[in-house]
Order: sequence, then C-alpha cells, then structure tokens
Amino acid sequence: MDSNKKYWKGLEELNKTPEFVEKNKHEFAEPVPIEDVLSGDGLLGKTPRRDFLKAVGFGVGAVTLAACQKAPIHKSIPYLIKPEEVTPGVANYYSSTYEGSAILVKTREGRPIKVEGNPNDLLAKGGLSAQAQASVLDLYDVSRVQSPLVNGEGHAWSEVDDYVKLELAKIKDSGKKIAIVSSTISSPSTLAVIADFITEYPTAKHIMYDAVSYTGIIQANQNSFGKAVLPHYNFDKADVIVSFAADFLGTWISGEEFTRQYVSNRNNKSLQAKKMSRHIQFETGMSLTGTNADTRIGLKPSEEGVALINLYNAITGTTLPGSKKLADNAVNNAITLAAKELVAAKGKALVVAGSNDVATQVLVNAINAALGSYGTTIDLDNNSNQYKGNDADFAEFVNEAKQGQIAAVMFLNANPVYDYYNTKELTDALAKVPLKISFNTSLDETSALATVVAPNHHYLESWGDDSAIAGYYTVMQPTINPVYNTRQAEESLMIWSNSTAKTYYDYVRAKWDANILPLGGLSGQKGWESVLQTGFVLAAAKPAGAYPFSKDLNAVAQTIMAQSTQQAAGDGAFELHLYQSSALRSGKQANNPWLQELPDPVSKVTWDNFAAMSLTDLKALNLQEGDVITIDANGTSIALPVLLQPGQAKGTISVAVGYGRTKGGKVIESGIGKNAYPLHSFRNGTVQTTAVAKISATGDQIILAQTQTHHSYEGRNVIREATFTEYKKNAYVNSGKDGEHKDYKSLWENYDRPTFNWVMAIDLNACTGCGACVVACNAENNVPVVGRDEVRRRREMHWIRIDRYYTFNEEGKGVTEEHEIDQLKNIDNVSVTHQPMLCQHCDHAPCETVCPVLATVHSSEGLNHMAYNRCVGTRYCANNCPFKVRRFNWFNYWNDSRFENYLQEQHTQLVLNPDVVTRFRGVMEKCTMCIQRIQSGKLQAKMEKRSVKDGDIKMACQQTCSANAIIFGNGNDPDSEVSKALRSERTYYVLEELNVQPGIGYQVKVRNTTELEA
Amino acid sequence: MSSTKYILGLFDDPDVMMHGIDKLQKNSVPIYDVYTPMPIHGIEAKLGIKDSRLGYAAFLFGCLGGTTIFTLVCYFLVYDWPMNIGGKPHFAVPDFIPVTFEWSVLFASFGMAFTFFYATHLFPGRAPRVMDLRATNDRFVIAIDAKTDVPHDDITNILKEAGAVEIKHNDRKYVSYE
Amino acid sequence: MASHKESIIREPLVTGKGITYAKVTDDILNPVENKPNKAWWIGFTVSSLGALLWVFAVSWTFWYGIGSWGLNKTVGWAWDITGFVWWVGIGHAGTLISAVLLLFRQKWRNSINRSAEAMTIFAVICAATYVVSHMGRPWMALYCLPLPNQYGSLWVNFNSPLIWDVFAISTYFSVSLVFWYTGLLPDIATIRDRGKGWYRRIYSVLSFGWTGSVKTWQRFETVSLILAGVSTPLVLSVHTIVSMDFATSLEPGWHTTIFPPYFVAGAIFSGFAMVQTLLLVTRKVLGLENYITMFHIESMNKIILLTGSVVGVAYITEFFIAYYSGGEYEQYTFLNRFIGPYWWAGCMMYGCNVLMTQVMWFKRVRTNITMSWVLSIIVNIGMWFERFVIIVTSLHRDFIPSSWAMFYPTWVDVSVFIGSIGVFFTLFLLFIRVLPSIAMAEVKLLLKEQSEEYKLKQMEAGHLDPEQVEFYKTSLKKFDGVDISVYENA
Repeated sequence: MDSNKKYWKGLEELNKTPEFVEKNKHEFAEPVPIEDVLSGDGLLGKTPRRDFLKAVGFGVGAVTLAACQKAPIHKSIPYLIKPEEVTPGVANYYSSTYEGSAILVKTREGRPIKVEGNPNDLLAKGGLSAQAQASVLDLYDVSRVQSPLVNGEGHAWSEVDDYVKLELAKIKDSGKKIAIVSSTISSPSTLAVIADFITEYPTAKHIMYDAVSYTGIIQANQNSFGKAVLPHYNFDKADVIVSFAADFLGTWISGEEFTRQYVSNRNNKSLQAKKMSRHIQFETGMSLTGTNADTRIGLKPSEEGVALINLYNAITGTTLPGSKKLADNAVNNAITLAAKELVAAKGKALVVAGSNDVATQVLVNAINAALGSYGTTIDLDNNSNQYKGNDADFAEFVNEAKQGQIAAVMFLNANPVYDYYNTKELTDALAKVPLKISFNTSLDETSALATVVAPNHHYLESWGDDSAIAGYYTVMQPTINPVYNTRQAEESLMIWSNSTAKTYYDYVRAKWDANILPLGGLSGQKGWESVLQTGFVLAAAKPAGAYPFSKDLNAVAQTIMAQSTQQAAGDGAFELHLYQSSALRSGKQANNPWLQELPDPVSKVTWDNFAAMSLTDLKALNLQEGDVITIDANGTSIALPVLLQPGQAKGTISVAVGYGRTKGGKVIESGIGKNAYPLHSFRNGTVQTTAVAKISATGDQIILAQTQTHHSYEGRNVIREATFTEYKKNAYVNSGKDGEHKDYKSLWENYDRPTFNWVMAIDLNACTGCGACVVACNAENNVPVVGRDEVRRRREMHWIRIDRYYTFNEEGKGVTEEHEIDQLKNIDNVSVTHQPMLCQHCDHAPCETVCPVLATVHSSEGLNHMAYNRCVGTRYCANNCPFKVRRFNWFNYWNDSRFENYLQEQHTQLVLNPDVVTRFRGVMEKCTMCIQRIQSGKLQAKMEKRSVKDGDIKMACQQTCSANAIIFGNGNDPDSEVSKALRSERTYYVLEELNVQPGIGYQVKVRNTTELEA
Repeated sequence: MSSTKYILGLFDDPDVMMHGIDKLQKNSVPIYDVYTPMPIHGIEAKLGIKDSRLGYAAFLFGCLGGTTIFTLVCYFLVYDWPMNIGGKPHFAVPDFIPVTFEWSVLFASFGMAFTFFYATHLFPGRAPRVMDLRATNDRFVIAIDAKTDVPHDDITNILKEAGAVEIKHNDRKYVSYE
Repeated sequence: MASHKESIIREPLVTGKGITYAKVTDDILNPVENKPNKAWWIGFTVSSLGALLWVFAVSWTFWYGIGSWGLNKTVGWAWDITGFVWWVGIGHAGTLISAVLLLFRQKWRNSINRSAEAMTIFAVICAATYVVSHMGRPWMALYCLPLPNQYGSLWVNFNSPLIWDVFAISTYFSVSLVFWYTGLLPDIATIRDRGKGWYRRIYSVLSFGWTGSVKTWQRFETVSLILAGVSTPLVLSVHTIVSMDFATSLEPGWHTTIFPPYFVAGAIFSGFAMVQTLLLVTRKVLGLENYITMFHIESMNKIILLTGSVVGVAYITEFFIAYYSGGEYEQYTFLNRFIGPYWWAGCMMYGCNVLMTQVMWFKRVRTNITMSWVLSIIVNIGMWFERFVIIVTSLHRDFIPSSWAMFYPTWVDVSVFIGSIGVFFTLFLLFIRVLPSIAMAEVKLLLKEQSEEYKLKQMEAGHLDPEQVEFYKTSLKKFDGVDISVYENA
C-alpha cells in the first residue's frame, strides 16, 4: 500500500515561487562549466591557480591510489589446448624443398630453427649448402617487406589487388606488353600459374633472367643438339675430369650434387678399391674446385678458348683453322697430357667449362661428343632445370621497355637493378614502364623502384613444388604461419588473373594429383600425404642417349680466336675475371650475417670482396696486400683492396660478384664490398664474365678481415699428404704408422668409457673446404656473429673452422716453410689442402688440467665439457690448447650494440636453438660435439626402449656435408662407421706426438698426380 | 720510606750499560727490566732469561697448516667429487704439493707471529708500558724496583759509577701518555 | 768488548760525522715528522695521476669487457700476465733482502730492508690487481677459492697452476705483511714516544704498545729469524709457481723445465734493480746518504750483475735445449724470437738483461750513481720484455700455423700498465711519509762497529796494520758521503 503523502522541500516548493521553479530546472544549484571547459577557449584559457592545485591534488591522489593497487599477475600457460603434433622441447621435422633439393625443416614450438638435408634427396643425398643452412635466418629478417606497398605506402591486400587488376585491365585493353621477369623457375606449379596468367593477359611474357647466367651452355646445346637445356652432369661416372674455369664443386650449377658425385670417386671407399678419379683444372683465379684439383693450371680468360681448341685438336687429331699454341709451354704440356688421359678414359671422361660464351660451349660439346661423354657422364635427356635464364630475352625486354612498349613489369625473385650488367640502361628503361610490380621479399634495389611491392612469402612459409632435374619433383610445405603480412607471389598472380582455384595450395594439390603423383605411382590424399612425408616424387629416369656432334667447327673456332685476340689485354692492362664467391654467390642473401662471416674457402676473407692478383703482378706494380686499386672496365670502375692470391694466373684479376649491394637490409646497408656486376659485358648474345681492365692504385689501405693470415703449414705434420701412386704402393704412406700402429704410452691408466666413446673421423681427401659445416654449426649452436672489425682482430667465434694451406711446388717437391717461400720466384704452381679443425676432445685434454675453476672437465663418454656459468675467463685453457679451437666471448656479442648484425633483434633471435644457451661476455666456448644432439639421440633411443644405433646421432657439421667427409659415432662399437673409418690405413691424429690423445682422427690427403708434374 | 716506585739508570751507550748491569748484579741489586731502543745481545744471558720457545710453536703450526690443506684437497678431489681432469688420476699427489707447502708456511708464520703478540701482550691499542720516553730512542734504561732492601742512594751511586748519564727516581711505574 | 770489533778493512755501513743514536733517529724520522718537501709533492702528484689512469682503464675494462684489450683467439694473455709476472718478480727482492741477507748475516741489509719490504708489498698488490682484472668475469673471481657453492659444492682444480698461484700469492702477501709490520713495531714506538697529541695516539695504537724490554727484544729477534727462515723458501716457491703457469703447459717456449730457477733469478734481478731505482732517489730526496751508502749501492750492483749473468746463462741453456731436443715446434719458437715479427722484443730482452748489465764488471760503473740508476731502469725494461717475449712471442705462433696471429695492444692495455706503476709509486710515496723508510733499531746496531766514525776512532787509537788502514782509506774514496780530507793526516 503506497503512501500518497507529499513532502515539500520548503515553502518555496509549496508556493512554487518562480525562483524555485527556475532553480529546479538544473540538477546542480550552480551551473557546471562543462561547456566552456570543453569549448576551445576553455581548454586554452589559463587555469586559475586554485583550480590547478585542485586538479594536481586530485591527480596525485588518484595516481597514488592507482599505484597502491598490486599489478595484475598474468599467468602464462603454454598450450592450454595443445596442438597434438607439438610437444614443448621436442623438435618436429617437416619435409620441404630448397632450390630443388629435398630438405627437412627442424621446428621447435612451431618455429623453424634449422634446415637439414633430406637423406634421400636425389641431388646431395642429405648434404646441404651453406646458403641453404643460412636461409632459415632470412625467414626472421626484420628488413623483409612486412606488408604490401603501393608507391611506397602500406595498403591492404584488397586495395593492392583492386589497384593492380584495374591497371592490368587497362593494359589488356591498350594491348601493350606485360613482362614477368623472374630468375629461373623450376617449379611446375609456379610455371603453370604464370602460364594461366599469360592466357588471361595474352600480351604478357615470361622472361627468365639469372644474375649469373648459363645461357652459353643452353644455347650451345640448342645449336649442337637442338636441346636448349642444361644437361645433367654425372661426375661420379667420370674417371678423368677436365674443367676450364668451371667451379663445379662450389658455385657452378649444382655444387652440392657435384661434390657428392665427385667425392664418391676419391673418398675412403674408392681408395680402398685402389680407385681414384683424376681432376685437371684450368682456371684464372683460384676457385674452390681449383683447390681440390689434382693438377691445376693458371690460365688467362683470353687463353681459355685457345686452350680448348688445342685440346680438341689433340683429342681428335684434327687441326681447327687459326689454332695456335699458347705462349706458356707448361700449359701446352698440360693440355697434351689432359688430352692423352681423356682419350684413354673415353666414355668415362668429362670436360666442362665455366664460360658463358656460346661458341666456347659448342666446342666443349664437340670435345665431350668426341670423348663419348653423352649418355655416360653427361645426360641430356633427364636435363637439369636449375638454370634456364636467357640473356638475350632480358636484353630485348630492356629494349622494348626503352621504346615504351612495356606497360607493366613484374619482378619475381629477381633483382636486375642490382645485378644487371648495365644498371643505367635498365633504370632508364624502367622509368618508362608505368606499372612496376615486385614480389621480392625485401625492399631491394629493384623493389625500391617498383610502384607496387607485393611481398612474397619466405619459402618456409609457402606451399609449392620444384623440379631441379627432369623427373625429380620435390614438394614445398610451410613450416610456420606467415611471419609478416605477406602473400605468396603465385597467389597474387592467381588473384590478378581471376584464377578458379581458391588458394595456391589447392592449385598445387590439383597439379600434383593430375600430373605428378602418378609418376611416382601414387594417387589421392594418401599419395599426397606420403609425398609430404618423403618430400619428393622420382619418376623413372629416361635412358640417357648418346649425342653425336655433327656441326662444322671452323666458324666456331674463328669466333673463339677472334674473341681471344679481342679479350687479350695489352701492356699495362689486366684480364678481369668475375666469379661468384662461395659464401655469397649471386648476392641474393647478402643480408645474411652468417654468410657474410663465412670465410671464403680460398682467401679466408670475410665481410668484403677484393681484387685477387698474382705475386708477380703485385711485385711489378709494387703493391701490398690491402692496397686499394680502381679497376676500370666496360666504362665503369670500382675500387677494391688487393689480395695476394697464389695460383692466380699472371696478368689477371679476379673479383667476386654479390657484394656492394645498396638496399635490402641492415647488414647490406652497413656497406659491404663493391658491386662487380657492372663490369660484365654483353658479347655474342650472352653476358660474359671476362673483360679487359685498367687498374690504378688509389693509395688507400684496407685491412681485409681474414680468419687465417698464415697460409702454409711450415712442413709440420699436422697436414699429411701422399700421391695416389705412393698410396697404391703402400696404403700407410705418410700416415706416420707405416704398417704397425704407433702407440703412445701414457703415464697413468686411462679412464674407461663404459658405454659410449664419442669420436670423429675426418677424411681430408673428401673435404672440399666449402664451409657449409661452419654455417650449419652457427645455426645449430647459436654461435654469435662478431662482424668485420672483430674478425680483423682475429676474434671470430666459429666453433669449426677450415684451415687452408698452400704448398708451393718447386721442381718436384712441395715447399711449405715461410723462409723458403720467400725465396721462391714463382709461387703460381700451388697445391692446396683443406683441414676442418674443431675441438679434438682430447682424452688428455691440456685445457682441463689448467682451468682453475673446473669449468672444463672430461665426461665418461670421452667428451671435453665446458660449463659456461662456472667459467671465470682466465683464457688459460685457450692458451694451452695446441689446436687453438677455443673461442672467448671478448664482448657481450648478443646485446652489445657495437656488434649489431641484426642477430640482436628480438624477433630474429627466434631462430636460436632453444637447446643451446647463448654465451655471456667473459666466458670461453668451443665445439661441444653437439652435446644436445647426443642427448636427444639417447632420449629417443630410451623412449623406443632400444640402445643407440650407429647413425642415430649426427653432428650438425657432419649432416650438412655433401662430401660426407665427417663421420661421428661411438668408438666403443667396432662396427660403427666411425670405427671403420678410423681403422683406415690413412688415419692419423693431429699433433698425436704430444700424446694429448685427440678424439678426432684425420685421413691422409691423397693427390692423383703423375710423376710428370708434382 | 720515600714515594719512589722505580729507579731508572739511563745510559747512552750499550756497552757502558752492560757494565752497569754487572755492577748492580755484583752488588746484588735486583734488576726489574732493561729497556733499549735496539736489541742488545748477551743481555738476556745476564738477566738469566730462558731461550724463546717460539720456534716450536712455528713448527707445530706449520705441520697443522700442511695437514689441513692436504686433507682438504684430498677430500675435494678424491672423496667428495672425483672427476676426470685431463685424464689425470684423482689422487695426483705431485699437484697437491705446492698448496700444501704454501699453507705450511702461512700457518707457521701467522701462528708464530700471533703467539709472539699474545705472549708479549702486543695488540693494537694496548697502553704502552714505557718507563722512560727516550728508551725507544737513544737511551738504554735499567729499571730497578724500588721495593728492595738495597738503599736507594747506594743504587744511585752504583749507577753513577757505572756511567749512567741520568738517574731517575720515579713515583709512578709508567710514563703517562695523557 | 773486543769480541765485536770488526776488521778495519771492512767498509763502513754508516758514514758521516757525529752520528749518535739520537742523530740516527732524527735523520730517519725527519721526513715523517716534518712537512713534505717540493720533490715529494711533485712525485706524489704525478704518481697519483697515474693511479687515476689505472682506475679509469680498469673500470673501462670491467664495463665493456676484456675485448677492449688487444688480445685475440691466439694470444690469450699479453700485457696483463706480463705485468703480473713483472710485478711479482720485483716484489721478490724485498723478501730476499730482508730474509736471505738476514740469514747470511749481511749487516748492510739493515739500512735497506725496510723500504725493500715495503716495495715487496706494494708490488704484490699491483700484481694481484692483474690477477683479478685479467679475468673475463672478475665478479666471479671468488670461484677461484675452494668455497662451498650452489654447484653441489664444485671445488677448485688443485691441478691448475693458477690455483697454486692463488695460494702462493695470497700467502706471500700476508706473510710479507706480517714480517714487515713486526719489524716496524719498535720504530713506530719511537715515533710514538717522540710525538704529541693525536699524532702520538695513532702511532700508539699502531705500535701495539711496544716497550723494548729485554724479553720483547729477545722474542722479536727469534720471530724475525724464523720468519726469515720460512720466507726464504716461500719467496723461491712463489716465483717457482709463477713460472709453472708456463712450465706445466705444453706451449712451445713455455714447456721448459729450467723455468723455476730461471724465473727466480730473474725475479731477484729485476727486484734489486727496482730497489736501486727507488733508493737512489729516496736517499737523495730524504738526505739519507749516510745510511744508504755507496757500499750499499755497489753491493746491490754486484748482485744485479750476478743474477743478470745467471739469467743470461738460462737464456743460452734454453736455446741449447731447444736445439738439442729436436722438437720442431720448440725449435721454431726460439728461432722465431729472433727472425719472427717480434724480433725487436727479443732484442730488447737479451740486450737489456744480458748485454747491458755486463758493464757492471767495471767498478767505475758500479760506483757511479747516475749510471747505476740508468742501468736499473734498463734492467726493469728488459725484464718486462722478457715476460712479453715468453708470453706473446711463444703464443702468437704455436703449433697450428693457421691460427698464427699478431698481438697489438690497445690504449687500455697500455693505460692499465702505466697506471699500475702509478699505483705503486703512490703507495711508496705515502709510505715514506708516514713510516720510517729505514729500520732505525737495526741501523742503531751498526753504529758501534760499522760506522765510519767508529772506525776513524780505531785508526786514531792506532795499533792497526798500516797496510789495512791504507786499503781502508782507498776504499773510502768512492763514498759520496765521506770527506777524504779527514784521512789525509790520519
């Protein structure tokens, strides 16, 4: 029952006086000045002191109160709902593909941290190049383009698509040309996507363009046999290999694959069978392949063709018009000798040339045909797809662009603005192209000019496929969600060409279901899934046919002779030879600090390119190593420091491309080396790597950052070599054992190794010195990058290094001692040895005895342990290490801004291996024999309730080695691979006479040299 | 009975002082102590002071130090946590010798020095019990307890004859430092 | 008493007229009891600036890391350990003078042992600073002591020469300190009894209440004797152990059995040189010519000559063994000292230590103050280079040629070393201001028989063999504190 009583707030209300009514309108007795506070002048108007104080008072009070409250605690719970395939702490491996070879990607908690070879890969059988190893770091590169750009501004993909489609539509109507410029594409699906795009836009044209082109070979095969392809070479079938400046173990076509093939005829197994291939190398600069040759002859670029003609003459007994002997008789003899050996090995012989000159390559074809190499050592039917670029096509594109016929150009994985020989012409031409689209992942020189940048995924984020060799199909699957707001180039093309397939994944699936799976006898979801596991489909290879050579060579010979006279440098001029450095190759990965700090296998220089010259020339010009010279060729000139390169042909300069990039990331922009691409020239329809150069000293001096500054082994038995002839007589030759095993007595009895005795065997005859193991080790063990200056101070941190020693051959005997070398007049006849050097895990480790704090002690499995958080950094262990493999953290490389090579980026550090700690300033570190791998191997075995099998555990360095030079395993198990290897007659231990009892055995280097030259 | 507590004979030459001691002893005056700015050899014999036994202390402390560290090292490296250090045996005696030696010396010297301080009541801040300020400078002081049955004047005379440059009859034992 | 009469032919250890016990005290305490003179102030300013430089350089190293030194993967020790060994070596002379010469009853030690011991202590301090500052993680230095810890008590490695070092250096320092301070007690007491007010109070505390009673002196002497007895093997052991840092390793050029005696000889050598350097200046500045006489200077020069030659023999032996051993690495290392890139360092080492000191065969050189001083400096330089050569030249080219490298010092390396010298001199200058730089009590012992005045008395008393007297007179000619005229008519 509600009351209807009424209470007045006073008489005013009762009487309803006008004032009262007026007042009651407002909630507050006094009007609140909200309006004039909010109105501009209220805000601008000056606050009276009292108000100010009030405000401050309230503010302070409020803040204080807020501060009094305890900060909320966020409990982070990993994987509340755990993805079933991810177990924290356990790595997952996904098969994928890198540049056509099948790989396994190691991921931890969903992030790829390492790339490893797929043991069943057709090319390298599990071996992987330094570049592949380093590629995982590019994924986390913060300088990647992180979202699509139109005219340099970020836009949503939809906007980009609308814009591009609109433009393309216009062009379609106008009937103007569209160019898709890409580096070689060997992926069937990508090619199909591009084909679809072209059907949608008929004026579009796909131009393949390679920074380092193989057009010469492709054209030559077109001319000679009507097949415009790169053949598939089989170095494993060749007993005699003669190479003219082809760096086939390093940068030439398929280095890792060729290394595997090549070594199979020189490794322990084949030596046991008293079989060893013979390798003669004619080249200008000292290449990685040259260092491994049994006989290496320095040759000027201009002499190369002539030499080939002579070789042809010697083999066929004919005499091509205009052919003349060379000035240097040593070379002539070598050629005659080579011819003799080649002929003797008919059908098992192979001649390759690195030149990109069509005529030269035609001649090479002729020689190979004469030797019956086709069908045996050269396979034209299961050709290689690794390079398809055509220089002429691109040159034509530049022309059309200049004339304004091109309305749109798309760059896919190509950076011509940096690596085209005529940058000026290209940029001018591009200025005339209204729509420039770049799919490149970083804002490199080309993308910088693009109107639209549609950043592509990193390959570890992408679906796709590849086919390096005809009939060999590898599948690519993403191992992580796109890190940035990028989109796969194929997907972009599909959208722009209104493709029916929803995603590129569907597209690839469809393509494989239709065409590829059946080749492997697979089909459907099951087939696809099995492919995702195995990583590839291998169709039955076509029989390799023999190809007779029936063209007339006279014209060819004339062109060659003409060129050689044109290219021969007159007085004061030098013959310039441009090559790819083993670490940086074309320069695509120039922003990768791991590769920048990887020492060049021959010069051991990091972080720079240089002008390699011979001692004779340096003396003549009175230059010192490190003097900066300007090199003038083809109208451009660059300034580079000189490097004294033993074995460099007289009168020549070798310069590496891939350096001197200007855009595309922190490391690049720190300014590394000079760009040598502009020194190329366009001759006889191809881009040629040789030129005539004038040089002049600038007077400046640069100290190159070399990891090795003493280049001979002083006749010490750390390096032991023998000739194949000696080896055949006595397998123990120079191993220091000569029949009976030498046993060094020790003063006290050894500790026993109950279960495991981890040891390693390294075959000096297999190791080519490529350096892939170094990068693999960096990735596996979080080895810091220290940068150019620290390397100069001899402070690189690599746990494994490859020592490279020159032996100078003087009348039949090797000279290695400094004081003798200084006496030599001619140091061009040089043979090279590579020796991987890492912690030897000595059983009587000198480092352990001297450590005051027991930070480094020996394990019961024969390993030399290092306890970082116990180390106080007296460096005594390093001083007392006869192998000098211990590395000290001179600074806090992981977050001292002075050593920032973007490995200090929080984001980039996602690449770190969580099983290995990063080391703090002031502690010693060194090779641990990948202790984390040993542990996980043991755990795996334990979980599977079995004992560790031989081969379960592989070191990072061993795993990536295409030559299989490194073998690791349990020395207690007599049947383990490593025990077998160590039982080899060639086995010796470095500095064994010190009785430190190293755990790593090396096998004597054997050279297949005949008495004729030694 | 005068208020004299101690009679001091101050000499400026050690040899003369030695004579003085002989004289006093001949007259069977008991000598309380002798204060000199430097060690005087032969004086302890006269006053019949036994040889110091600090040497034995040093020896014992030395042995203690040696055994201590050797036992510790064996405990550390052989018993508590034996490990494989450069393939050497755990009980590597030759390597233990240096530290053993060092600690023998350390204990010997410190043990002895502190025994000396303790025995002779030397420690920081101890009030110096000095009878004449020049005893640490250029005076050789023979102190005679006044509580003796030899008359003070005789003592004074003996000292005078012996060639003391000054004779003091002190009413208080030690010099006040205030 | 005829028994202590000393033959006249012995040269006096205290010269000058009217030297009484009081005068000895006054002369020696003069610098302690009065305001310092200009020379002292200049010296102090310079050396304390040096000390500041040290503080700066070491702080820099701690802040940025050892990388701020010139070291690299091949040469892990250079100026740091060179400096360490150099300072320890210098330190040894003090102990030798006070201990060994005491055992041999060499009375002339009495007037130099005090400052020599002080030098020992300061030198060892400088050495110790290197031990800590050369570590990669000096804040973890305690790991070098066998203390219980969280690693399940992981103790230290008693097989490592560095641990032996830790024990040796700490023992050496503390024992020297005790030795030195015990010796100081009577002298502090003297200052106390001459002083007034707060001054006296301070020294009173420091004097431990020393009285100089018979028993005290008797025990005091026993203690000094035994301390001398144990210090002698101690000092030998310390440098032996320091040498083992190298000798027990397997680096060619380090792995040498001759090192212990060779290093000890070198230590005495450099130590005496440093004493010479200091005292020649001190005696002038503090006017102590009468107590540190030409006899002292010449005696020390003789020891320098002797030890210098010993070191020379050691060098030759080293070379011979290297050749005779047939070890190619050993042979190369020693060849490399002459033909290698560090040949100049080798020349400094052999030149300064062996060749230069040989001129001391000439009495004129030995008794010439300027030359003795210059030579003492040369020896110090030479000995620094000896350690540099042993450490750097051996390390920079050892077994595996691929790792051969050069060492280039940075400004930090240099500053730390220069700075440590500053620290040393700062401490020494403070010492001569507050404590008697000569052991008064012990000098007073000499006054009776070994002072020039006393000997003069003897001569005047007559009945001495005139031949001997003549000999004595001629021997006095070299003394700068003696005026010969007195003897003309004697």
